[in-house]
Amino acid sequence: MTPPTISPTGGWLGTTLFVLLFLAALILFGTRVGRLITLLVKARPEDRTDHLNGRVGTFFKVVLGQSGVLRDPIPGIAHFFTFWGFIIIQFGLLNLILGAFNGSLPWLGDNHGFAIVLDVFVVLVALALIVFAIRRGIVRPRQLNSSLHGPWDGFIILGLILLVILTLALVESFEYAASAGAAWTPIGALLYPLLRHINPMTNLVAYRTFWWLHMATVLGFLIYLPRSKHLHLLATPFNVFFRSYKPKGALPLLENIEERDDYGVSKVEQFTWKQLLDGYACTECGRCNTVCPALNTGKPLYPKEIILGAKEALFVRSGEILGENSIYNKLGIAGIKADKTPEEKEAHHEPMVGGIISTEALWACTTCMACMEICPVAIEHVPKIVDMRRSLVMEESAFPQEVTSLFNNIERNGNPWEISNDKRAEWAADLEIPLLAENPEADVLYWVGCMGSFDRRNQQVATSVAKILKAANVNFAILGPEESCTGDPARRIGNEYLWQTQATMNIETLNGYGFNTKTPAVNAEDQGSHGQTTTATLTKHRTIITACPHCFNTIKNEYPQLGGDYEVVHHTVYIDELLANSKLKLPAGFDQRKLTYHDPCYVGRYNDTYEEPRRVLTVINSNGVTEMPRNRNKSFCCGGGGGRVWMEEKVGKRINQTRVNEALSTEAEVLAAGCPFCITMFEDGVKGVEAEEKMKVEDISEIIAHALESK
Amino acid sequence: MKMFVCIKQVPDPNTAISKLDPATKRLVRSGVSLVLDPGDESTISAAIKLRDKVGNSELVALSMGPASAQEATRRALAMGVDRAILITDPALAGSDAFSTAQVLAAALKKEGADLIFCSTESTDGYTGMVPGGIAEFLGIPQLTFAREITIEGQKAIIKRVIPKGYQTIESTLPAVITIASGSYEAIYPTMKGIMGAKKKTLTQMSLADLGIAATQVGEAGAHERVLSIGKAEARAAGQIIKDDGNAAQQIAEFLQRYQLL
Ligand code: SF4
Ligand code: SF4
Repeated sequence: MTPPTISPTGGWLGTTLFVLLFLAALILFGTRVGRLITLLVKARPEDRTDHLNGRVGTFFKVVLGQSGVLRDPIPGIAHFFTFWGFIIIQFGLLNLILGAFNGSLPWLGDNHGFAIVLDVFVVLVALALIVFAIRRGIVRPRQLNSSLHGPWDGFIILGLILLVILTLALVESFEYAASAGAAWTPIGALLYPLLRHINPMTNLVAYRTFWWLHMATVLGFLIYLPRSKHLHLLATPFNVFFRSYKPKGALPLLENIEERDDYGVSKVEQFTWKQLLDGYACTECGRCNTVCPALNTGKPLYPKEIILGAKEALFVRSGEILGENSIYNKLGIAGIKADKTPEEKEAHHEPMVGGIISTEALWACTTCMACMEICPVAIEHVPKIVDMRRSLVMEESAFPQEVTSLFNNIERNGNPWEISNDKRAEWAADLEIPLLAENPEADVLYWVGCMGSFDRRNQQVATSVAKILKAANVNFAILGPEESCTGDPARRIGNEYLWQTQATMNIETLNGYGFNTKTPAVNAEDQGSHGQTTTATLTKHRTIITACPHCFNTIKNEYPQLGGDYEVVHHTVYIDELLANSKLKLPAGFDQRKLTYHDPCYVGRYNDTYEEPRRVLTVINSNGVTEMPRNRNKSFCCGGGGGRVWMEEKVGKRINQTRVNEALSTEAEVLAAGCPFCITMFEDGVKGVEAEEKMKVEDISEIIAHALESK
Repeated sequence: MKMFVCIKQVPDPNTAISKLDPATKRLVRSGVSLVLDPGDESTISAAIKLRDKVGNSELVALSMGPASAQEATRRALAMGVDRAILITDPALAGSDAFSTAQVLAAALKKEGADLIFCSTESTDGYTGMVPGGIAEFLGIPQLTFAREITIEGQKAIIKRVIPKGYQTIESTLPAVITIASGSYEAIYPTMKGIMGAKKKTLTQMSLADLGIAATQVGEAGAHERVLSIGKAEARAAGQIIKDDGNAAQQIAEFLQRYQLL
């Protein structure tokens, strides 16, 4: 350890002053952060400690590797360097602080290698700052606007970082000059020719001045941090670490639904700590806004503002939440804007939902999950939006009026329409498809879903699926009237109770036919002789297939919450399997039309299934798939998810037409889909833009069935 | 103020394939899904709104039917009605509109009502005679086809739907008010409502409780007889207008003919 050549403080008096300043800043910072942490501690519980190994891995990749931001190359790379520069500069800082005590960092303090790395990063951060400043000042992407922090917040931070590296470079230069090269740094050596002629006393004073300035900036930054958007610097690593490891397509279960006092979230206090941490972690980058189909067609939904709205609601209510006796309230150094005056309190007295967060925004969401997919810091928008919808539906009975009949029909008829569920198998009347009741040993259950069963257009899809299964000699059956709506639309709209009722009913039916992969079955003989139960291993591989991604997602990812574990696949995946096992033979390249494929949200982003449908299409179509600009995990929603298909679209452009136009831009003759709602939305959209002559909307199964018939 | 809303359980009009029993010439009510009459859902909603607006009032759902009709009263309770009364008695089977009105009126008299809401007609029998019957038996005025209701002191004022618009009429209380269909959005029950409904009181009354003899009601006491039943005439096909330049004109004329424009 080599002590610095010259003391930066000039003696014990200066050092004492520094220590006092340092402690004061630390206390201020600690109080602000302590307040933020206490708010989390007081929030509702939620367990995020499963999959610890995976969590560590993700932490390395996303936090240290910056994989989230790097998907957006220019600001991504700039952020990468700022992030790592920041960490390395901390070591430089420690070294400078130790200098005040005549010490230096072991290993690094006197290491030329470290000095070089540090200075390289000083330069890289400076370059990154230029990129950021151009973005913020000149390009000004709309998504950077923030309701919570004015435009100045970003610039204050940029200014502070600039000051940090600038003063650091100046400290290095003048220390080098004052010590005549004894304190070697690349920047010092580089600028020495300019400074060597200045009188040594001036260099020494300049060195000390900039040392103090550097320290002041760093401490100022520290104090400012918790109240700025750069709180993400502290919160993001935790947010990424505690990200959800549950299936991403599953909404959280509302437990004990019959014995609760509240049903969802109307006040910020009803969020869990992790949902609040999301707010701290938000970098306000606005990536979520850029991809939101609702926002991009003129709806009043800014996904970023949902996250920031919850954060603002938390801050303004923090006084009440912490309670009068809280040390933070007594200290009065809030650091975050809590309501204090009666006028402020009055203004925010209303619950968060309908106040800071508008109900129009909540109803506009298609639950497409594009926002969550792109967020670099693992923020979870959709569960929050649905939590707030739950309160609106189950506590206030306040929802778009069109939805009332949907709820009533699902409840009474087991389907979204005013049709008796007895008619569920009518579409199959001439197709000789057995009901499961008639063929209980069937290998495959084809879950037709309400759209496939009752919707004219989608009955054609159901017929195609059945034809394919027959062509592949699959021993399959349907449930017919025993099948009931899965409850997906109800759950997405916020009617958790109705979903649970429907799910429980369907689980009972499916378990009754032995489809549950985890049901402990009682072995009759065993029990007779030994009086004990054994867990039966399934003798047969029994699969549920469905052409509806919404049925698929809720059965696969959500029914397990109520004890329904099934092997369920989307029909395109099953067809891909049939092809791979040569059970299904197709006239390769039969279809010669130019075709594009739309990834349904609930197949793609919800279940990471992108390649199987494309593989199937590539076999059947001679041209393969012509991709739309937004494909795979960037797919742009059809507008029908999240129950939106049951609501009117009154504001802005039509989401379905927007996507149809994108499909038309590829000059495809066929828009291939894999979801009954997409088909409905797109056929509507095609009509809307008067492109019926140009492009057809077809389910993948229809394209295949057609080829099979013409073989 | 003490308010009542008369409700009925009917075969789900949206899904049930109406079956008529050729022997009794009546609607078959078994083996079909039974629901609270959707028309009553709007009437209940209108009543709840008014109860909340007037304040300091109780709203009671009153129904006559078999024990299974409890389900329908539960729904009314979940929607926000304060308590419910179900008049059920084996002797009531086969009652006509006259006896129904008589029985409901007896219960209302016993309870003492300031305001009684009814749907204009039920979605199964469509006689539309019960509300008038109740008013007659109780000797109080009836205000029909209300689409807006205001209470001022001891007066009820309604906007009454008529073919060309509405009339504003008023009457003293107590009174029977029938709600014009489609005027009120049905309330969808909240979870609190659904859970709370299980704890609200549902009183059952028999004919004896009301002091009515079994012979006065049911099949025995019916004044009406269904003479015959037949198929309704198929509706005439609608008119399709092809746009040859003056479609807008034709549509406007069409609407004008029905005074819709
Ligand atoms: S889920 Fe889709 S529609 Fe909803 S906020 Fe996110 S991006 Fe927007
Ligand atoms: S939620 Fe995520 S994507 Fe949206 S602004 Fe915040 S950090 Fe960016």
